Amino acid sequence: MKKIKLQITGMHCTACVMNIDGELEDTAGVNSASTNYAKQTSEVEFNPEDITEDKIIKIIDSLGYSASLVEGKKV
Amino acid sequence: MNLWVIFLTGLTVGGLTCLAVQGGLLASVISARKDEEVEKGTGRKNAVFPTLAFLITKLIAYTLLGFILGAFGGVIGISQTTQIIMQLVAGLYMIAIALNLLNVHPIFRYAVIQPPKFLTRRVRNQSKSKDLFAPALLGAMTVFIPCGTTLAMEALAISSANAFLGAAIMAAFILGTTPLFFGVGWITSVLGDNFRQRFLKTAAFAVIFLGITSVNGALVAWGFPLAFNSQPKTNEKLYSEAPSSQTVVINVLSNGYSPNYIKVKKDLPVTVKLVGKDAYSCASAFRVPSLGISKNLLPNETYAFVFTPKQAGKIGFTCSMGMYSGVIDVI
Repeated sequence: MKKIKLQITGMHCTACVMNIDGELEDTAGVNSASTNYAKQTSEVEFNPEDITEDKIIKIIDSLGYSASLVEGKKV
Repeated sequence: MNLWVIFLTGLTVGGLTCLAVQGGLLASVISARKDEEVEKGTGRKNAVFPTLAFLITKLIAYTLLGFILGAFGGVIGISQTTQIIMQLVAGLYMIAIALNLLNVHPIFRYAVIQPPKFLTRRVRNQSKSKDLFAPALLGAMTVFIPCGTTLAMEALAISSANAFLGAAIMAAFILGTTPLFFGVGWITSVLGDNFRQRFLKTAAFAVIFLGITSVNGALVAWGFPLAFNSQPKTNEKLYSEAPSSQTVVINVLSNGYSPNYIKVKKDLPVTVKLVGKDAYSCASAFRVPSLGISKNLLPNETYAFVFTPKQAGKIGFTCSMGMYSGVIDVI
């Protein structure tokens, strides 16, 4: 499992949090997604064998937000 | 309380912020139902019925919530000071929410309360249900995922300290948000995201207005001398000199008190008779802060209290939210 922290821009309310977390958790390979509206960050835990960081960032981008990697580590 | 302003807030900023999350969920539950109907060969061509079911249960759920919040506010707001403080906080909270919508400073993001994960997950799962009653259930479940503006309205409902008024506040707001749901995606797809952003910013001012009204109302109810409207205008028609018996009749109307300026003589008992006349607004929650009088009149109820003014001066009376006020002038 790998955990990454992403900086998200373009969120204007907690509804966006729900969109992002919901969409990511529906994606195969993603174990959990926890987005914080106030901090505008998202912590995603995933299995690197099933999905890549780039793919996760692309999913968030496709929802109308933009994401960039802050930190990533193995857990 | 001005229910029209609340309705307009729902129609503009509330509709957009609620639509951001609930529109997506509604679309998802509608498409889940469609798949099911196509499989069974009973597919309907439009989404009007599920949308209506969603909106009606949502309205009922929020009206009930408003009723509970108003009643809750009434129970904990036993002391008038508590209620005024709550209204003040609700007003300041609304201003913070609006400043967040306007992107004034990142700090205002913390004003937005994020619903707990287990709730958002449950609501999202419901949106994938193919059950016939899924849209209706989803509508009711949206109470668990309020957007910022909805939270501000809920704060207002609590500060109203009246179950019926709380219910009216929430109902007016949710009714305001409904038209946008029929055009899910229309605003963003036809008019573009740019328009949406500008619309959101303009609408934020409606929330600021509501917030300032709420704060000002709290100041009036508290008797703060610098609040707007703290002195009622003396109007010939509303002017009433107490007769020698010192019995004054104040008609409690939906739009305030008539008369709202009364002269009485000091050291003589004054009987104030409140006559409720179809007053369904917060005017029915009558308060005289300096005398410790607090009475929630039922429509068409009459209530009297007696006091003896010991010194000359002005005694202010207001509704619980400070929207309507008047003065008893002791001479």
